[in-house]
Amino acid sequence: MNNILKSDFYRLFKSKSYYICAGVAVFLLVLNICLAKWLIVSTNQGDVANTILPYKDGISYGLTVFANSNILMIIAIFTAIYITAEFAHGTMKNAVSKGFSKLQIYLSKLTVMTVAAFLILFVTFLAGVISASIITGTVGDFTSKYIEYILKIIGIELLLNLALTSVLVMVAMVFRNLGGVIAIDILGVLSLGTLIFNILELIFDGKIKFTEYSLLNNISFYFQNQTATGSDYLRSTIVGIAFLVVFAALGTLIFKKADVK
Amino acid sequence: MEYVLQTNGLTKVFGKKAAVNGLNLNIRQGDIYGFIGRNGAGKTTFIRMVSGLAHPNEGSIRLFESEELDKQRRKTGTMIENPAVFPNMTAKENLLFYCKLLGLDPKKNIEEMLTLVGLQDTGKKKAKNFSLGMKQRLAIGIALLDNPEFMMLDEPTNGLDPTGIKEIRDLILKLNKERKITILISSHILGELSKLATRYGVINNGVMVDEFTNEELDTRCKGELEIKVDNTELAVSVLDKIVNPADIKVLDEKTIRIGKDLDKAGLINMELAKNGVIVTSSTIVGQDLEAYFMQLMDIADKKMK
Repeated sequence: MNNILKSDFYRLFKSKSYYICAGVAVFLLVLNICLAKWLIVSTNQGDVANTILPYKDGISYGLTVFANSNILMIIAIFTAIYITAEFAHGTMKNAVSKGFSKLQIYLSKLTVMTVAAFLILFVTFLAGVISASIITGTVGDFTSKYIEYILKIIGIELLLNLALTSVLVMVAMVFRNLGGVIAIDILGVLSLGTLIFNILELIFDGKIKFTEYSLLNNISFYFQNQTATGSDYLRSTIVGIAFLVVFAALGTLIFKKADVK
Repeated sequence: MEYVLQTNGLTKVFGKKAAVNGLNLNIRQGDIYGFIGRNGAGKTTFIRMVSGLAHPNEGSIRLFESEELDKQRRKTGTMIENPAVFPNMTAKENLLFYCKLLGLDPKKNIEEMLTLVGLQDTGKKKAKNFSLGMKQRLAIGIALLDNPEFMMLDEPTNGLDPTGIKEIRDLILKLNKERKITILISSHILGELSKLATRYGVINNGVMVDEFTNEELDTRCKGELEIKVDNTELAVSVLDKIVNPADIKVLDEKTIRIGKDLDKAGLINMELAKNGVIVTSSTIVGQDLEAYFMQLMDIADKKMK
């Protein structure tokens, strides 16, 4: 397992597309806050500043990377590129034919993609904090209560993003075709994923709040609701673990059963 | 250990069609095994099953006389269909990736392998800019890491020019002779295969049609007496008294081949004429691997009908 991880990490850090994706993510994040600031300055409308620029400091803007749809999309695209390339170039065959178990191969891909996603999130978080600190003039509130809140948010968001990576890895390992995987990721996972939970809620006349168990709703929940309670954290933890385990198990099972082209 | 690979009743079904149907194949240590068959005969599917890329529906595989396949596969190297290399990496980087995967010391292995496959001067050139021959050699280099005892090469000379074909042939012979690697090689270029293989297996519609050694091929392909007659039934009854009936093959309504006793050609013609059989031609014909393969395919097709 160690060897597969080493080789997969080597390929990750040799991958030009990884640096391009991370660069684009940073660029979009910085551009977003710069445009917001420019809009305020150019229209000279201080009263709408809070609507356009709701971030009071660098850290609060930096935290939004975890639920930023552009960044999640970039992570989805890179996961698709990295994994499907192994099938397209036929290099997946080499690992399988050398007797490495498919479970090890799958878990290695999941681990490497998780690290890749976390690194993109970390770099964009830093870029967000720096750029927003410059624009707002404040880094953040360093009271113990706020630090506790930040750590909670980061912890829960990392778990939920790990679960999302598990879904993305499963889609890539099962469908294997770059175009198809990107389409499924963008349409199925990132756009229509929540719709299924809405439909379920409608079917059950809202008796069961299915939407509360949507992975994407949980990812964005903490940026729409600043007064999250302990039960919210518990629910998100359960949702994160459930998505992570179910999709990893499903992906491993399908990959083990399938022939490798 | 005598056998490197043994399969028993190996079967792979896609939909309702059996791509490989009850295939029994045995490869001895030290062999260069030429695996021959038309497109879609089941050669690649067979190699994919042996290398763990496809699951057999039935049958068993033994590698190095063991059924612990995952463990034994570490001692094999495969190159299936297109050369599997990372196009955005150099030859060295590709080999470094696989050294990490296999837990090998890159310093010891990379330079040696690049020299062995003749890619030591490729420098920073990315694999995507390699010629097909260079990619094939790099893929063979990757398959050779970890010193495999058995290599499976699926169409390694496909799409190569004559120079590229010769380079791959020389490399395969070198690996077999110097490193004592047993090799299974599938190819359409039968003339080329006959310069390499020590043993052959012919597959048609997923079924093993024949297995023979190079010596047996020589015997089978040496001259045969081909006679064309007006009445094969009568001719065979006459010939049965002159030559061993097992050596008589009726190819069609007018053609008979006699595998041995070429020195009896005069006697055969005379006896046939005496018994009222009109001999329209009598010639000694030789065969190469290609002709022999075509003949086997014809026989297999007729059997199927």
